[in-house]
Amino acid sequence: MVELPCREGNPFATCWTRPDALTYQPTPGATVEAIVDSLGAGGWRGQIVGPHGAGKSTLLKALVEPLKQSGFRPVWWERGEPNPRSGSDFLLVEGFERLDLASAIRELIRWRTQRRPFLLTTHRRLPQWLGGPPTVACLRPDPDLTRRLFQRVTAGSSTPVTWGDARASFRRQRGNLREVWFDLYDLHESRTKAGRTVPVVASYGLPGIN
Amino acid sequence: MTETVPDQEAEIWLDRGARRYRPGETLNGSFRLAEWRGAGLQAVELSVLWYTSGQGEEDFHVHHFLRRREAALPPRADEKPHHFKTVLPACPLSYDGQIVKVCWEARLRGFFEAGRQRTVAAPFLLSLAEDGTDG
Repeated sequence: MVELPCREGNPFATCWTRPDALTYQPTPGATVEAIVDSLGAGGWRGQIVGPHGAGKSTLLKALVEPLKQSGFRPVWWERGEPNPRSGSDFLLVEGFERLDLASAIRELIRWRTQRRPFLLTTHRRLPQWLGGPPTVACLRPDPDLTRRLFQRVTAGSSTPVTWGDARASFRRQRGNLREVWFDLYDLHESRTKAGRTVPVVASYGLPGIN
Repeated sequence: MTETVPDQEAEIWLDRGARRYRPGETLNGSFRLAEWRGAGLQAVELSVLWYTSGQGEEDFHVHHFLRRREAALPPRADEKPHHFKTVLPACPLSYDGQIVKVCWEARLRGFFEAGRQRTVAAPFLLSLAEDGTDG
């Protein structure tokens, strides 16, 4: 009998591991409450710093409700979109490092001139001389956090993927949790599916190279 | 033989025990609201849909849909199973791939007071072949 494909078939599918599916796991000094306090102390401007897959997007999403409770209306910033007009709008900016230097400086100056509250995520800390806001969180995934997330993701599901596999992936991916989930997803698939409806063969070979 | 997907409070089931269907066939199913009726239920939605799962964003499409307000339902004491049916389309077929899966299900969603929601679902296979493989 063919097993029915469903999202519950792989606990590492994106629907279970994307930023808004996993609740933010606080670390000492980086609780949601502490971060909101830091934001307030810094004039409601801040930056979350961390490498790829460190949980910046997850933390940003976890701050939406607390910002609403603080009287703001969180608005996701899109490059090219006109800036919000309401003074209660709080800009949430993901991936600020993707902006070129001129655009980054221009936006920072604009938001400061407009006294716009904002919180951005970035891979590298924006220095003060560049107009960078206070750092409210610096995220560095560690094995303990990864273990908690792994247990949360696999709770109630059946998978041959072990914590040992996850730990090895964490080392291999140098702490990039997004890549770890991709790794474990593939591992679960390869260990559970003996045959598929269509063979998974994608070979992009260059002439003379295997 | 029918299979149910039991929830403590509501049930949904399909007419095919093995839950395999071919394109163009009629999917017949039923649902029972049971204890949802006494838990502040305001409306229910029945959907027959497909969605993708795997690595990456999910996509989905609702093939069949009906909505009922609780006030329009028969009194709880007189309630019998609610039937639904729909002719299934030619595609997409169920697919259990490595990177992406295409999943079909009949889903019952209940809307309750204070914005609460509950769902129960009965997944099924839309396939050309008897053994569930394609080709």
